[in-house]
Formats: sequence, structure tokens, C-alpha cells
Amino acid sequence: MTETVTCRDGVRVLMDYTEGVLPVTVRHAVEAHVRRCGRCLGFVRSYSETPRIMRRATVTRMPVGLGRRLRRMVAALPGARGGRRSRS
Amino acid sequence: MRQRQESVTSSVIAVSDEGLARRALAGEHAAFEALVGRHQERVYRLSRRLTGNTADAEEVVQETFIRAYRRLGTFRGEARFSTWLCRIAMNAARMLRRGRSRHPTEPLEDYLPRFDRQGRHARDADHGRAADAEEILDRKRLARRAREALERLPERYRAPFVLRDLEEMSTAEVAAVLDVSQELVRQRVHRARLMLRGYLSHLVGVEP
Repeated sequence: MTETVTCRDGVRVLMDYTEGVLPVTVRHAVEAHVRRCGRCLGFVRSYSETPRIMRRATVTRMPVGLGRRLRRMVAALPGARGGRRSRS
Repeated sequence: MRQRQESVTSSVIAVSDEGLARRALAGEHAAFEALVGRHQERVYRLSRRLTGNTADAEEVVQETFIRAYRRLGTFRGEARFSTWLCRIAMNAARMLRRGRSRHPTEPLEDYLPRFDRQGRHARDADHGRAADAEEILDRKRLARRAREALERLPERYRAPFVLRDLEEMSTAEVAAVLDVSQELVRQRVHRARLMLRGYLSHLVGVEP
């Protein structure tokens, strides 16, 4: 793999590359390929951005009503003041 | 009453999750209330991403804290409390999804990258364009499509991806929550990223 890295080879190890767990020789070979491959350069960019885009697009806040329900639920648990029964 | 509440709040505010868990187990109910207050937003966000809708997410949150309360005695402090709680939420979400009859959804495998015989990217498309999805797409549309995409990820990929990339847990933590090896987490997150990257490319009008 270190001799002739293809786009497919590079894509296969991209996660390990971003996690820093690739052997150094393989890492250098992948970097050399990406430097001279425009398609891979673009691919790496969009691959790296995907988690951030998905994270931002799926951020949600907890509904206010759920907070109230949780407080009531916790207050009714066994052992709570006003709960159903004490924990033994 | 308010004074008592403030005094309880100040007595738990600087305590670690693990310390609160010990105090809750010893019968100090305010300690458990504090744990719920600290973690409810995160558990909700995780549940929403795992279940795909608000109603199921709310059910999972409530179930998670009930189970956590009942199982406090099993928390040994070997993992962080938040990791332990995530595991409970994951299982609650999984159980709930199993019980739901779901409409079959098209999997995302079609969006995996394609290569020619020489192992080169198959098309001369703009492979980086998916990175501009936020600039190209309307925010609400992107949010809706992103949730749909998560829903379409097979379960074995969705959970590791949500924990690792959306909840930003370390690979080691995800492995602990899912009780699998770190290598398997990396493989599954990688495949999820590839599918989602291709899906985003499709949304902005570029072939995967």
C-alpha cells in the first residue's frame, strides 16, 4: 500500500488517519497521494466536515414541559419527600 | 422553603457525578435530583438523535432516569457516570425502537463512494462540495434531511456515529458504552460518515 496508494486505499483508512492510529509509513503515503489528487483532497474535506454538519443540523433543546415532567417524576420516586414509599 | 432549596442546591453543586451517585444511593434524594438536572439536556439530545422524534425521545429520557434510579446500586464508578447513563439511554432507545412497527426506509448504502477499476474515484464530481451543505441548503431543510438520514442509517452504524461524532465522545468511551472494541467503533463510524457524506453530496446535487 505504501508503494502505490489509490483513492480507494486512502478512503479505506481515512478514519484511522483522522484518529491518528495509522502506522507512520502508511500515513505519509496517504498524505502524498492526497497532495497530488484533487478528488481525494475534496473528499477528505467533505468527509471531515460531515460530523460537524450533522451535529449542527441535529442539535435540539429539551422541551420545557419535559423538564417539568421529569421534576415531578423524580419527586414521586420511592424515597423522595412525597414519594410513594421509602427505599429500604 | 426557598432557603432550604438553595442550601440543598449549594450542597450538591460542587460535587462530582460519582459523588452524587454515592449520596443518592445512600438515600439523599436531592443528590439524584441534581444528577437529573445535570444530565437531562444531554440525555434528551442523545435520545432525540437515536429515536428520530420528540415523543419517543421524551419517553426514552424518562425511562432512562427511572432505570438509573433503580440501578444506582450497580454503578461501580469504573466508568464515568455519564458513560453509564448513556448506556442506559442507548438500551432504552433500542428497546423502544424494537417495539415500534416502522415503515421500511431506504438504506444509505447507495451513497457510499464509488471507484473505477484502478481504485480512483469513479466520477470527476466536486467531491468537496458536501462540505458546503450549510451554505447551499436552507437550514430547516438540512435539519429535516439530516434527521431522516440518521433514521436511515442501520442501527449498528447509527449508535456509534451518534455517540462518537454527534455527542463527541471519545472512541474509547463509545466502545465502553456499546461494549465492543475500539476498532469496531472506528469501522462503523467510518462507514456511517461515508454514507452520510455521500448523502450530503446528493443533497447539494453532486454524485457521491
